[in-house]
Amino acid sequence: MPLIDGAGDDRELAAMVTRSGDETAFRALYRRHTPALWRLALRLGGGDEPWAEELVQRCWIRAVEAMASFGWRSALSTWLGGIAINCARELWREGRAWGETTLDEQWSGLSVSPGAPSNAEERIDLERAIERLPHGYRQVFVLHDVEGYTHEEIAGLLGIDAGTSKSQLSHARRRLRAALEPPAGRTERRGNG
Amino acid sequence: MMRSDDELTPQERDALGRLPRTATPPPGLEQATVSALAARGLLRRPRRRLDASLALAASVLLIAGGLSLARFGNQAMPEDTRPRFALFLYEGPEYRQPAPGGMDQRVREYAAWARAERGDGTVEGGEKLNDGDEVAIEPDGTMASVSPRPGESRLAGFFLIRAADRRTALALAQSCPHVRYGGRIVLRAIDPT
Repeated sequence: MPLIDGAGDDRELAAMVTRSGDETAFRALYRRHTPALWRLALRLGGGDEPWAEELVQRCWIRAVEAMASFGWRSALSTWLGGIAINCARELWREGRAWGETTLDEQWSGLSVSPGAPSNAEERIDLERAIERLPHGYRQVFVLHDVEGYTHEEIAGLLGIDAGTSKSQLSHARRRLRAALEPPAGRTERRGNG
Repeated sequence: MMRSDDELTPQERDALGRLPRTATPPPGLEQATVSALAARGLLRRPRRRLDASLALAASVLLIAGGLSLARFGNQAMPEDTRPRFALFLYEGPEYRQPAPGGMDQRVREYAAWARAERGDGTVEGGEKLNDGDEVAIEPDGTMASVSPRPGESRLAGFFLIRAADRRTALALAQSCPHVRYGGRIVLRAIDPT
């Protein structure tokens, strides 16, 4: 049973962690912010759970190491998101993007619902399509179109030009549109048995 | 669902906006992260004192008091040479949880029992164990989350006590409010070596 879940704001809990290494305060922070970090990690990692676990754990270690110097000019969740993205870059550089597939594999087996998809079907297809993007496209698409970062912010986070971010996003959107377009003749083939 | 130009359509924005922002992380990740932080000296296990302020602040059944002062050589305390015992507190289906809003009263009751001056023994400390983060390390080094099966008791916490002898320790354990609420207590003598 959590001791102080729901009690105290982020700043208070972070102070307890940095001042005395308070495990209970850390667990409260973890439980508050990890569901969003986990979703972000899964999206950045293309659904690769071991990779996402490594990312989230590394993110929290970096966060606790740097928490004392956090200036609170942004929400803790925003700061954590930035750390997660940096950690993702590290993991990619270390060659641990385990979810990577070849370009051919990226689009084979992508489920496309015939007819008008329900919201749930559309969401699942969109999630799978995002997972299958090449990671350069995927990271920009997730950060811009899902997480709401600007190209300038993405450029700073990923160490790329804003123009590169725009270009990657454009490619990513085109890939997704192509992937989510029902294949010509599919419905007809199904209808013919 | 996506069109061929670079801007998102309202339908696309809507679809992206419906993507979930959070996800439930794997159950073992919290403990793995805490362990990783503790191994780096960034977190310390909580050791809660038997004081009234904690009893009021924390929604816990057990109040911890730190390990024996004598054991750690505190010169201000006369050495207590009585045998030490551990009381393991289990909660099963028969354990009567406090009614909504009654947790504070339950906490005060356990705390009063732990703090009480008595001739039959001394409660030196204890810990409430968190729910939901049990991880088993198998002999081959693999890790697995542990969840009690329906109807199965689970270890919920422990107290460390000193008493003149086993019979006295059992009498002290029988007086613990945990028993009155349907909980089960297992007493084990601590090896003095």
